[in-house]
Amino acid sequence: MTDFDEASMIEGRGLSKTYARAKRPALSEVSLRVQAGEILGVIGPNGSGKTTLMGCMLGLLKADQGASFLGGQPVAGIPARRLVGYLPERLGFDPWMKGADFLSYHHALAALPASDRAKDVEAMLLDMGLDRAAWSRPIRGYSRGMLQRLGLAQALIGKPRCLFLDEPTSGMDPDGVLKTRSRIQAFAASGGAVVVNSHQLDQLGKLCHQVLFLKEGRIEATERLQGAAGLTWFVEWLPREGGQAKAKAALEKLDLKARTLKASSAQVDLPDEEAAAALVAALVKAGVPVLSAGPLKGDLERFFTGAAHASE
Amino acid sequence: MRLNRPVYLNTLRWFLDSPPRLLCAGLMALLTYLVVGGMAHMEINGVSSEGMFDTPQALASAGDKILVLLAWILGVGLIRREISSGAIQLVLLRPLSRPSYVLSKWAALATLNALFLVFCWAVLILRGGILQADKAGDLGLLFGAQVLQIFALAAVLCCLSCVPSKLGEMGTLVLAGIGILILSHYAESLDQAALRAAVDFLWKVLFPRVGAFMDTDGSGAAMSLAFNAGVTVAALGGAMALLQAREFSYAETGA
Repeated sequence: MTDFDEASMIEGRGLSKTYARAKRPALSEVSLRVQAGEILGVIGPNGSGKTTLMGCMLGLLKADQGASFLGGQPVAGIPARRLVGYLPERLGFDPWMKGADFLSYHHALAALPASDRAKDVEAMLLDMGLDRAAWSRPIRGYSRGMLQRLGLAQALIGKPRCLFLDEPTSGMDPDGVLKTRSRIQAFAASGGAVVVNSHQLDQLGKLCHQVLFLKEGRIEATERLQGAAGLTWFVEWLPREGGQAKAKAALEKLDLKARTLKASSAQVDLPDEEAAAALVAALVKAGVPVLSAGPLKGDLERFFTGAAHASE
Repeated sequence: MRLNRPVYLNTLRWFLDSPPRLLCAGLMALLTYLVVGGMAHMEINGVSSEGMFDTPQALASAGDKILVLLAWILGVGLIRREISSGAIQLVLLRPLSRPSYVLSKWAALATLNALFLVFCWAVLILRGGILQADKAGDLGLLFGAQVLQIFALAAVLCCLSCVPSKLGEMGTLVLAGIGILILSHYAESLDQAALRAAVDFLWKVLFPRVGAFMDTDGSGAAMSLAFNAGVTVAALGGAMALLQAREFSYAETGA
């Protein structure tokens, strides 16, 4: 498993692509590198080249210039394709197939042992939280959220090392969003490399180690996010006597450090949502009358809008 | 380049999954049973056909048209359907080569058509009782020619399925047919032997039939066999080259 170049599990070098009859290039000299264990988010306005970049990285589109590599192998070769899992934005699955059969088919296509097939498929379907009754139903009857879960299962069934996800949580219910996020994080934690295209900045902010902003086919900016998969929460309480001191004590008890701590609010860096729940519980227990608590939105949004306006 | 078993088996399942396609195939089988089987027993002006039946000629003329129709019924959308839906993108990202994918699709279609061919022959032999010792050699050669006809048909369908056209296989075929008819018109009016030969060649490529060779001389089946072997190789090579050169983006998917 360590025959790959883990420092650049996913690598694109100077990728350029101009579609026939297009006035401007869809991609211009885009280079990127994703290490094992890392999640890269790709953001940008519609038509900025995000899906073209993914197509070139996967070898589905032929770049006019540049090359892409997976685990150090050229993407066009069979060895590279043993490493890849892909969830497209538009889920064009065979509608006549049943959910479980579809996964079995992709398990077989991935050349994994037939003896493990039934076990792997069942485990994956359970892991994705797909209703057991749906396993033996034709895919044509699936809702968008179910298709998305099945799509992610398909991307993971071949035991990939490089995962490409295009809008992975589109159409999913909140439970599905949380499950998908934790599944992607677990994949990265096990040494996988991930590229995610998404318009959902809050999701990317919680998921990614690094974000790349594309505009008109060019990289406008890249941002390494603080404490990947971590988040900053904003907590607000009623301004009462001693509120700040009580909050400070509660934070210290949980070994958390506030970015800012004011008389009636605080910004706190948290490793995950479990820690956020624990913080709120601790504040309430300490007698702090909490009014609201939630992830602090804006870092990625500010980055997005800043990068979008930088070139104008 | 090897046959990919999952793609091959999955394509066979796709054929069997569609009730309209199965119904059409069933009707074709019934037609074969009634028409082809009945030919051996018909009486013309009070004279039984038994004993005077030109077996190879009858098999070629009756069987190959049905085989052409059946191949088209079963094979439309063979690869194009997956290109249109985008499903092919997921398959081609798996560790298999594009030529292997084409080969597996072709093999699945050829298998189903071969089963139908065996059915046709079983009907003729069981209903007609026409397996005569002195014709065994001819019949063997004819069977081989019809197998190659099936291979060529499946390969032509694969190739048309990979042509980057919004018309689909049928549309591409109709367009090609119109083109050949126009060429044929000029060939006749200009009395150009070379052009006529080209038109004849194109028809034989687009609609591989053993019967198209049977009126020449006794070596018709052998000629058909050799010609269709060439068509099979060329069309499969064409399909593989077309798919190899193809790019896949959402712009062309119907999703």
